[in-house]
This record gives sequence, structure tokens and C-alpha cells, in this order.
Amino acid sequence: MKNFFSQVFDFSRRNPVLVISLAIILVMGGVSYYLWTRQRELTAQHDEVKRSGEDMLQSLTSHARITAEINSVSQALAFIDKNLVNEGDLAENLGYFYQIENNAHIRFTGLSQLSSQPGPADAPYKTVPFSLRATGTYRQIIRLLHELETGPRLLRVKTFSITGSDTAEDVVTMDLNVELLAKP
Amino acid sequence: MPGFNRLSKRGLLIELNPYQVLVAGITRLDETPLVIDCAAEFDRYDDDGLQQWLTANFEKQTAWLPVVAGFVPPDALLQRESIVSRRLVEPDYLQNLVKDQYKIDHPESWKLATLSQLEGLPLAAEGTQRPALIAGVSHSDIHDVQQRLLDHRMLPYRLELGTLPLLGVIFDHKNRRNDKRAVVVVNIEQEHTVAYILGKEGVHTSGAVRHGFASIVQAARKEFGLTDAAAVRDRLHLADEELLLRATKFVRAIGRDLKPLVDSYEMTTGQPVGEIYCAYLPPPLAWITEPLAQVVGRTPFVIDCAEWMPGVNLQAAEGVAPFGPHWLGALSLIADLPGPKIEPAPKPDDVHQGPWHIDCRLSAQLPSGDLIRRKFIGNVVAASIAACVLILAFWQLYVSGSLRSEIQYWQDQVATHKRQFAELNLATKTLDAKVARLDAAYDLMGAPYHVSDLLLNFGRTRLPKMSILSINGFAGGVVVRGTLQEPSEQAAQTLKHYVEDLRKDPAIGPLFSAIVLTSLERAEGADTLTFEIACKLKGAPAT
Repeated sequence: MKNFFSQVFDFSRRNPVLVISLAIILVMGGVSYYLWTRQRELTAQHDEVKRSGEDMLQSLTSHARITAEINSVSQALAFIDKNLVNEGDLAENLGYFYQIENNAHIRFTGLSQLSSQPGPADAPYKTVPFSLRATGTYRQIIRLLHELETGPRLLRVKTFSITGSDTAEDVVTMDLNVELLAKP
Repeated sequence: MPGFNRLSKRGLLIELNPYQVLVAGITRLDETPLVIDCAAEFDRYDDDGLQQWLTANFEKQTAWLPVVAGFVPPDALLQRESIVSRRLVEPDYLQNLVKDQYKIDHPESWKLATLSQLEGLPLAAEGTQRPALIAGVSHSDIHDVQQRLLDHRMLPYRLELGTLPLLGVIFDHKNRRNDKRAVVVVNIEQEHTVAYILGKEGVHTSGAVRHGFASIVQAARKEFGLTDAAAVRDRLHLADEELLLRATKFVRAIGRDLKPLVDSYEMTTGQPVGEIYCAYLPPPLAWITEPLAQVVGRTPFVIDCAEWMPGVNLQAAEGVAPFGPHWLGALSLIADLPGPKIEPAPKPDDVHQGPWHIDCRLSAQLPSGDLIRRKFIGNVVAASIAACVLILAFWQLYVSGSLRSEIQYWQDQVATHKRQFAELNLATKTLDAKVARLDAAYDLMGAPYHVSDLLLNFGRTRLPKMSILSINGFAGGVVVRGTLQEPSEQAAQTLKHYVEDLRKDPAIGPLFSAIVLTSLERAEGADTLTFEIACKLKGAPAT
């Protein structure tokens, strides 16, 4: 063994460039291999943290838009909530239609609140159906419909029927089935 | 000089003998005569002095310095022996011979060669029993000398057993003087003395004399009453009258054993022995030759190197001090002796490089020209690969560092914006909840059209001769019934165009997936058609 080391030392003394180069190749090769394996882990970690960081920053840029949307939606919901009908408050409900009637200068020949269908338990809203009948000129009927559809209460026309009168040329009769948005 | 044919640069002559290291610079190794432009002598172990001299005289020498080297190892074998020359082709013949005759345990670790005892030429492997000289040096001795030379950046182009060329030049000198008497060449080693008798039958060797230079030192110590080795050495180097008067006593031990050998030679061969030459003795010890010659009963061999050198194609440059007789061994290495040459001319790696010249190099352990080139290329390749690996490693270090910095940057970004991100998530959840409520309201109240607008649009598109009797709306669409007061054929075309116009109308057409005329009845006795147009809402289920 001593002889072997002596020969190695002797060889090293005669070939310093070769021996130093080989030592560098061995040491740095090992270091490179270690770094290469470590680098794959680092790259994966880097990709993950970069992706999450970029996603976060990208999301933060939409903060102002989301805030504005919340405001808009909140206003809309406030308006909706303010004009919800209460199914049990018949007088108030029919009163709304009478108010429309006055604005349109036409009288309902038939107006009744119908029973609502039960909705899902967690539904934020429900609908209350109404049946309406009115007779008037074409212009009056159009105005009545316009008042109903653009009034503060949210209303949907389920069915309608407009029929001309057999006796008077300019008189039409309108039958409506509508639903108003109501508190659950 | 076979080894120098391709050399045109400056070289060196070096002899490592038992007492000294002799070195001489040669201007050009391929010219004739060889010009020696500098020379120096060093103590046997004075490596520092040798290195300084080399640095001073060969400072421009950046590569290997080519040298012709001679060395005289104490254990070297040089014996006259009777051999069967045709058996020289047998690989083990010479090894077995020296193993049996000279008790060499591992002859395979020796460099062995045979040469004729008269001309110093290599022996042909033919013929029967004949006398020859067997020269041999152990590989370990050769290795030590080679390594010592390499340590001084000297590359041996020949490494010779120094005694052989010395015998050659003495033979030549004797022949030039036409001296018929034999000459005794004595090499006084530390513990023994070797004698070679050069006569008309060539080199004659005898057993070693048991006394060497140590016997002279011992005698001097006793004679002068000195105890310190350095003091004895200094005293022996001071050749004053007192020392010369007692010199015979100092060499008596050697001479007493040497004389019978010489006398025996004379009696055996009938040839008188005239002179005795003590090889390698440095000038301070040159006085030993004369008393030893007296004890043996012969005269000292005298040679003037300055006169001898031109005859062997050697020349000393101006300013170089005259060479003493102790330089004869060193100069014999490059002396161009007349006489028979080796045919064909030897190759650089051959053992026999000329008469009396045997190359003992272990070529495999030397950086030969090819080896130097290979070594250079190997170094370049290894250094290049090392540089690449180094660059790769540092690049990976850089990349790893960059990745770590990037990871840290993104982690900092995430940490910095964590609170804002939590607020954003909360806002998003709030928005989602509110939008869900809004969607629920839309699902319940959303309508494809305003009835009032639809009625107005139907009224707007009504034809002049058309009366609308009824308009019914339901979940699936709208049905319009009416009459058209036109002749049937014209009315059919008019209604067809009317339906097409409804489909194209931007306020009505986009609401419905289909607008079709579903009924057309003609009234009895009048140009009136009753019609029914069905408009199917988009997304309505098929009926």
C-alpha cells in the first residue's frame, strides 16, 4: 500500500497538469452531478412558486374591477330587495296594480292574486302569480303593459291574450297572467 | 553520434561517477567536432549546485534538456566470461548465466548486454564458445539515475555504463601510442576496488579487490590521529609533502591485493603490464595514482586531454578551462573513436549505440519525444475537459443561485401580497354570493321580450289591408291571427312576403327561431283570407 501511494505521489509530481486536471474533473464532475440533480428539484419548486405568484399578481390586478362589480351587484340587489312583494300582504299587492291602473288611465275588469307554487327551501326569492283582465283602446292597453313591465316591482308576463272586440273597432281586451318577484 | 542525428539544439554531457558529477555544455549536438562551451564539476551529492549551474547556463531551456549521460553504479556487472554466442538468441541464456556465475538473484530485473572484449562491438548470435564481456546494471540503479536526471529537467538520449567507453578510449589511446604493454584501469569504490586490464587479448577482468577508498580513509585517520570524518576528508584533499610522504601507507591495502592480480595476468598471458590508471579520481585525490602504481610496481598512466580531444572530434570553446585526466570518463561518452563501426547504424532505441557504448535507458520510464507529445496532448485534453467541467459546474452553480433568488423573490411576492390576496378572495366570494342571488332573480323574472314592445312592433309591421284579430303569448311563443282583404292569390303572396318581412325585422326576427304561416282560410263570397302566424321562441321546447 505504501508503495502504491509512493508511486501515485511520484506520478503526480511528474504530471502535475494531468493530475490536477483529473482531480478537477472528478471533484467538479461530482459537484456538477449533485447540482444537476438538485437543480431539477429547484426548477420544479421554482415553477410552482412562480406560477402561484403570477396567478396571485394577476388576480390582484382585477381587485378594482371586482370591487366595482360588487358595488353594481349590490345596488341591483338593493333595488330588487326594496321592491319585493310579500305574498301575504294582498292589499299592498293589489294596491300596486291599482296604482298602475291610475297611471295608465284604464281599469282592470279582472284582478286576482293566485296561489304561489312552493320553491326550494334555500331559494332567495319566489314568485307570486296574478291574473289580470283589462279592456280598452289599443293605445291604453300598450300603455298599461308598458307601466307593468317598467314599474318598480319585478314582473314577468307568463301568458297574454289580446283580442279585438266584435262590437267596437278600436277596443281590445287583454288577459294577462303575470308573476311578481316576492320574498320567500 | 547516432542519438543526436536529429538534434540541432544545445545539449549536455554528464557523468555521475563515484566521486563527482561532471557536466559540460555542448553547443550543437549534430555538429562535428562537438564543441564544449562550458563545464563544471560538483560533489557527488551537490544537486543544488548542479541546478544553479544548469539555470545559469541553460536558462533559455524551457523544455527537456537532451543529455548524454554516463554513470558508474557500485553494483554494476562488467566481467569477461566464456559464452556460447549462438545461444544468445535464447531469452534466458544470459540471465541464467549471470545468475549462476555472479549470484544475481533476479537477473530479469537487470539490463544485460554482451560485447566483444577486444573491439567493444556487439556479439553476433553465432559460433561456439568464445570470450566476451558481459555488462549489466540493475533496473533500480538505472531508475534512480534516470529519475535524478529528470528531476533536473534533463532527458537522457543515452545513458551508458561509464566504465565501457572509458576502456574504449584507453584502448584507442594505447593503440595510437603503439604501446604493446597492458594498462590497468582501476576504479576505487568506497568499499572495494575493481580492476580491468587492457591487453592485446582485450579487456581482462578479475575478482574485486576487497579494499576501497574507505581503507585509505582508515589508514589516514590512524596515521594523522584524526577522529572526525570531515577532518580526514579535508586532510586527504590537501596533498602536501607530508601526505605524499605517507601516501604509500594509505594505498597499501589496495595495492597489496591488486598486485597479485596484475602479476597473475602477466604470468598467464605473458604480456607485460606497463601503466595503471585510476579512474574518476577528482584533482584533490589525484595523488593516489602514483603511490598505488608504486605499490603495484607499475607507472601511472598519463594522458593530456587537450592533446587527445582533437583526435576524437572534440573541441573546447575559448574560455573553457583545460580538462584534467579525471574528465577522460566523461569525454569518452562523446568521443568519436576510429575503428570499426556498427553496421547498420543503430537506431536510437538500440542497446548497442557504437563500440564500447551500451545504452542502459529504461525507455518506458522516460518521456520520449512521442511520449512528450502524447503527454502534451493528454495534458491539453485533460485540461480542456477540466475547464469544461469547471465551467459547467460554475454555470450550474450560477443557475442554482439564480433559481434560489427567483424562488426567494416569488416567495417574498406571495408573502407581501398575502393579505391583499385574502381580501380579494373574500371579495370574490361576496361577489359570487350576490351574483348567485341576482341570477336567481333573473331565472325567475327574465323574459325574452317586453310584451308592450312586441305589440308595438307587430302593429308597426301590419299591412294596410290587414286586420289583427288576436295575439296570444305563452311560454313557447306567440300566435297572431288576422284577416287580409285581398284576392286569394295576391293575399297568399302578400302573406308570404309579410312572414318573410317579419323574419327579417330586426325587432321581431331575432326573438324567434321560427316564424311560419300555419293557417290560411278563404271566407265565402268575399276577397278576404283569414290567417294564423305562429312564432316559436328561441330555446322553447319543441311541440
